[in-house]
Amino acid sequence: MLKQLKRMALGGVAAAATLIGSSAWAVEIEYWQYFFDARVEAMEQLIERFQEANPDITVKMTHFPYADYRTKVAAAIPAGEGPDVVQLFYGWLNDYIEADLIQPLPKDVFDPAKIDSEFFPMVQAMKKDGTYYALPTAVRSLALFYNTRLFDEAGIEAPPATLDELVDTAKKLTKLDGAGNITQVGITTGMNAQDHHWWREVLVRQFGGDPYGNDYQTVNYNNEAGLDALNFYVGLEKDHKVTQSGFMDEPQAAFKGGRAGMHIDGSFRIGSLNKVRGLKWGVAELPAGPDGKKSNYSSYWVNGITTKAEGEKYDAAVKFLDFLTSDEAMQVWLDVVGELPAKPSVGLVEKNANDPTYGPFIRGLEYANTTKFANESAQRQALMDMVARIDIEGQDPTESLNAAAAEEQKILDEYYGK
Amino acid sequence: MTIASEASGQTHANTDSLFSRKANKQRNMGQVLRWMVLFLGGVIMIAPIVYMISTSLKWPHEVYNVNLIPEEPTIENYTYVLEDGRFYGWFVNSIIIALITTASNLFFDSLVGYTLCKFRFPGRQIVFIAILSTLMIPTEMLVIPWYMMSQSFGWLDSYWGIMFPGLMTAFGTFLMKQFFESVPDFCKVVSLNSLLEPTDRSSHNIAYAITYNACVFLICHARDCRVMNFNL
Amino acid sequence: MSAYKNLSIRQKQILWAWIFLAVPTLFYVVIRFYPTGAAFVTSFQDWNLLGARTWTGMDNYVKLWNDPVFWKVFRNTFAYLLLGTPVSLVISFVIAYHLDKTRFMHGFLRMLYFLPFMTSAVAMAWVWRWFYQPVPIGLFNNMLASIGIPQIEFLNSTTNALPSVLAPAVWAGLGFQIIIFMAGLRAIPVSYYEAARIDGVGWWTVLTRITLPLLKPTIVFIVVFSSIGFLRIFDHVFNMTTNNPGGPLNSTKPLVLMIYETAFSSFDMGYAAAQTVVLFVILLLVSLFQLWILRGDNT
Repeated sequence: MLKQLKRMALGGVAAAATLIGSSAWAVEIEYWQYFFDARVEAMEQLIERFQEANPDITVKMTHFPYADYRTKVAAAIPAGEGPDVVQLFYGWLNDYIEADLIQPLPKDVFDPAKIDSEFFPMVQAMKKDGTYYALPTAVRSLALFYNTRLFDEAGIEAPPATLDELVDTAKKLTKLDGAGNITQVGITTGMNAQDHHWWREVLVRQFGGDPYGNDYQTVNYNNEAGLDALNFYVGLEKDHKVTQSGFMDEPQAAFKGGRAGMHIDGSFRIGSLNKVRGLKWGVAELPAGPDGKKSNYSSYWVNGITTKAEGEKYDAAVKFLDFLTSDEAMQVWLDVVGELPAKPSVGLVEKNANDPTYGPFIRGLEYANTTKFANESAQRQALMDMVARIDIEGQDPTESLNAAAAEEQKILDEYYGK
Repeated sequence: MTIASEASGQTHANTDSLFSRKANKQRNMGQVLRWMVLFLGGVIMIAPIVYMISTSLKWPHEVYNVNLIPEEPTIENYTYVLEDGRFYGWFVNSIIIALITTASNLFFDSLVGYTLCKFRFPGRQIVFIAILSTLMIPTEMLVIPWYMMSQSFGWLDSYWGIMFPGLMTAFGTFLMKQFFESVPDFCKVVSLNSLLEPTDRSSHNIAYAITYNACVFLICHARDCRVMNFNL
Repeated sequence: MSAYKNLSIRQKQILWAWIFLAVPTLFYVVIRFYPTGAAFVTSFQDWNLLGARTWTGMDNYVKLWNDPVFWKVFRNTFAYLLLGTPVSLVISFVIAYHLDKTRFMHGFLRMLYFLPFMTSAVAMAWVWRWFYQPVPIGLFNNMLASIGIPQIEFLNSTTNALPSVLAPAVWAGLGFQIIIFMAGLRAIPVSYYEAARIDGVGWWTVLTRITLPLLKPTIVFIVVFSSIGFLRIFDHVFNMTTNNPGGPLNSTKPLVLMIYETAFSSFDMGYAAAQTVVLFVILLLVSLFQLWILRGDNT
């Protein structure tokens, strides 16, 4: 009863609006993303451009705090409310498809063969049974940030190109006080930040391993290569004493505070580093492995069309998504958010690939891998605990590695229903 | 006024001539020592808050220095928050929510507390235990159903959607019941007169209870609402 | 109308009691008990928030029983309770007892102690987190270093982390307990103390024979509520260990944090619901146990 009354009232308002409004027959579609200043700003610009080109469509953007995002999406779409186009983390794709929240992209506009050839290869993770379900505007990768002032001070000329050079450089940058406490680290470490990606997709591969098998359903780092990678990682603190886990609470805080010579982080850190007064820094590609192997990790957020979009809203949603994956949108996203274009046609143009800041990240995309997470935070926790057991409890690295592998395999088995 | 009369009651009521000046002096020394220790404890209590304020006056590059007095004090952080503009909206939200839930709590919690304390009726113990048991229900258990509920009632994105779970609290009810219990009979003791000018300890207690509860609820609710915002 | 007049006073009282309680009863049933029931039901299901719910019987509870993390978390939760409650009870009583006897700038002193309770737990947890850091940024370790004592790993340690996280939680709640204790102390009739003074009884006897027994309702109140608070500890732990929630190696993780992670980062709602049911049972049993132990004639 109440609902009907409300509907009638709403209908009345809508009718009045269409009578008065100038864009009488405009289609309105809704777009949802999580709240992050630069992302919202970039999306506002994109919506403005899109509406100029398509005056008969209006796009309404809604954003939520990251922590609530999934709950809201899950509650709204089945109820026929919420977004027509939605942003989601690449790792959530399977959940969204299984829950019937998003629909496959139409093959006439989003031709799978064309996407395969136009986008960076890791985007193919968004393809299921030959059809794409969602596409990114931008992607992220890792690189080595370094403090140029501390480099000059220590007389270092160039950022390290290999892992051995990394250790040497870090040694020159480390400072101790009279009591032997570290007051400046050569390189930051912390599995909780980006190091778990660095270890998993970069170090393990560089020491000759392959972190997962069977399309990321089986853990494959509990072997010689994994142990070498782990020993290298914990050796930075234990043997070379060029770092301290938890130094200044967070790796990025230490780097921002000018008390860390080097720091591995994602392209999304650029914006906040630019805001730190008096910090001078540079970016280099991640150091290569013992036999010169390069690797990187990439992650991204994608946009998909929800099952709620039907009829003319569906057509409008397709147009909007097509625009969001255009070269133009990718350039805007790079300029405003600092996230990397998802297509080489935008990323590898002269201006972007040789950009002193973005260049190393974009070049990293060519050899980047994307972990297909079942539960990213739980899988990260397994690696954090692996290092903590060695650091705090003095456990043997081999034992700790095997325990972490077992722990992570359990998470994967549970997710894939084995 | 009250404090003065209490003070005279406690420290000078003893007119026993056995107390010499020396004993008095010792007592005073004890008082001074007690005060000093309490003051020192108080300073330790607020030290983290002082640090928070000090940090708010530092530039980002100085934030990690442990010095208490900023080298280059700045109010830039405050101007940033105020110029950013969103802060006013958040503040107004907090105030509206705090005022309404506090008013609702004061009314309903004292109503229920009073009823449970002063009335004898079948089901009294059950109602009391039932209300009290809600304290043991973890909020985490409730947020998802609450969200679904607000959605089906169309309360999403409204103050109401945030406030409804906190309109009555078991904690406030318990607190009020407890305070009413310390009063022999509410109606007899409280006249307007005795509220304005507390003469004996029990009526003083009611004024005390009400003022404190008002403050406590305001504070608790500001906190609860924050938690809710976070979860919903 | 005449029907009302014919009622006895007792019947009128019953009528009025239920009139007063009608709205609150409805409120508690709809807003608290119904969702609780829903959570009980969810605990027997598998649900990831997005898809359909499927019935799994006791699976979630069996999984919980066999989960080593749960038992670790279970021990932590009780460690918070068994350390936090007595420590905060004793400290707040000692302060309130002396504060009650202090007249000079009484309001000012009371404010100092009450202030932490009014401050945002989130902001304060971050300040404490800084205090605990190793040199060069940690206040405590800087103080230790300046007098030549080796650094202490407060948070990055499986043994020190839990007490370190608990300290700010005790600190933040102290002000409230002190106020409650002072209200309790003031409710004790002065005539008892006067009688004791005339008899020339020592302060220890006054404390143990008059003050503490008459404070029993206040003590019960504080014990029950602070126990519930410590069993539900979350804010402080979460904000002091955001880098590694509940860590290192789960050494600080309380049950509520485990629930939060299961629900909102693993999206395993059925398993999270089973954990809330267990927490509910623990809270219920602990509170009933305390009320039973502390039950007395003078409540």
